[in-house]
Amino acid sequence: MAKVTIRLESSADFNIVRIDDVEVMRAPGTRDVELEPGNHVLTWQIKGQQGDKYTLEITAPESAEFTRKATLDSFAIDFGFHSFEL
Amino acid sequence: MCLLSSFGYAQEKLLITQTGETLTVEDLDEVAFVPSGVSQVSNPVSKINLTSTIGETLAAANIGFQFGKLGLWSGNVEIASPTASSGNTNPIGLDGLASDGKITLGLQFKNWKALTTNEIIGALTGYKDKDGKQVTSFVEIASDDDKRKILNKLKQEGKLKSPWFVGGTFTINQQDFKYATDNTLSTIMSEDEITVNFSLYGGFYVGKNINSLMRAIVLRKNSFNANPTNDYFTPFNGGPTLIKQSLSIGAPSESEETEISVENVTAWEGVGINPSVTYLVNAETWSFNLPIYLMTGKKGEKALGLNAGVYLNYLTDADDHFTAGLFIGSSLSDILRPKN
Repeated sequence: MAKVTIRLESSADFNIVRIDDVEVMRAPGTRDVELEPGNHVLTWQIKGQQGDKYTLEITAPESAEFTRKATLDSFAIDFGFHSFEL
Repeated sequence: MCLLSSFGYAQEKLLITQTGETLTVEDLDEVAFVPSGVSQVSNPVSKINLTSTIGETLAAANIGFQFGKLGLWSGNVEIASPTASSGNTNPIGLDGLASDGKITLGLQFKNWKALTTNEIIGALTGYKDKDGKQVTSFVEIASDDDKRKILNKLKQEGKLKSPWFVGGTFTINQQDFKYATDNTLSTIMSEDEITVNFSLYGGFYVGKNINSLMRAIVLRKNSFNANPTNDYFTPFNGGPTLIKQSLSIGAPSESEETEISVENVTAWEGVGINPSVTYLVNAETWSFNLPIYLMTGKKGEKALGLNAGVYLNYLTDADDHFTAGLFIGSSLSDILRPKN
């Protein structure tokens, strides 16, 4: 098992972060989760207002580090995915 | 599932440790996702924020809470009072709230159905960014038409649901009143009156791009209104010297009101509306209000979004039923948020 640290900063009103379809967080903050070695998918779903910014990061382990920064446009929504391997 | 496989998605390999058990993904609907390092004694408050703001008219200290592991519940306590003209502002002390001080307690629950990994990858597959590369997130998509197409499809298929919220606020406000008991001005009274407001609200986003908000609010409040103030010349210390005092005569009057309102907030490019219908229960009056946001506010070089325009109002119980005019108010983007 490997400890994966997820960090979310967001000014948006609704935030969902999941790994392999399991919810990790619904609000900004930092969480550690234990995952099996192998391939995983991080997904996010953000709803706010135009101009809202968010930063989603995998800060540990180093081999899986990832940063996603975005500003919401006039659609005021974002969702996406990132595959990573442990 | 074939799309997931192409991205190397290994759902069956996810394991979670909870009290020593090893659980596979099939069990996940029944268990909480426990982060590592969490103690066995659960803490209902998962996050606390402390902030203070000081403006030209109001200084406020805010303590924000998130409850539960995922942070679905949130709350806050805000203590505010008028900003002191010099030195520190002291909104609360051993004597209680400062004059015109206010304490607000808020609690809110927000929810939104999550898209599955399959749904997200499926929705984005085939769409390109500005450099012609396959996107991994919605905002990267180069074409607005493509974005509309994706949202419409997700909505039509029932995959993208509307975010919703419910909440309540409770506010205590202290007001100081100084008045003469009668027109002899012989007795000057100083009274602290406490007003209590509470509200319950709920709402959800509607429309194809889920950026239109429907909200219902029930507000119960009491308030104290001072009688008109005039300038009077009264003897100083009973002597022949007269001093000028601004006084109202008679104690402030208390009124209570319950308001039930339903509103919509919708923003387009460069224009927005916030129509509302409010029933004033005690006054047995309906109020129909239509602010149309047309002007963008600015602070220095920074655009603040739509915050001004024209309004139309119709009151059922008034001599002049219709009123209309210009308004400058809160940013429409702020009104579009769940916060109330």
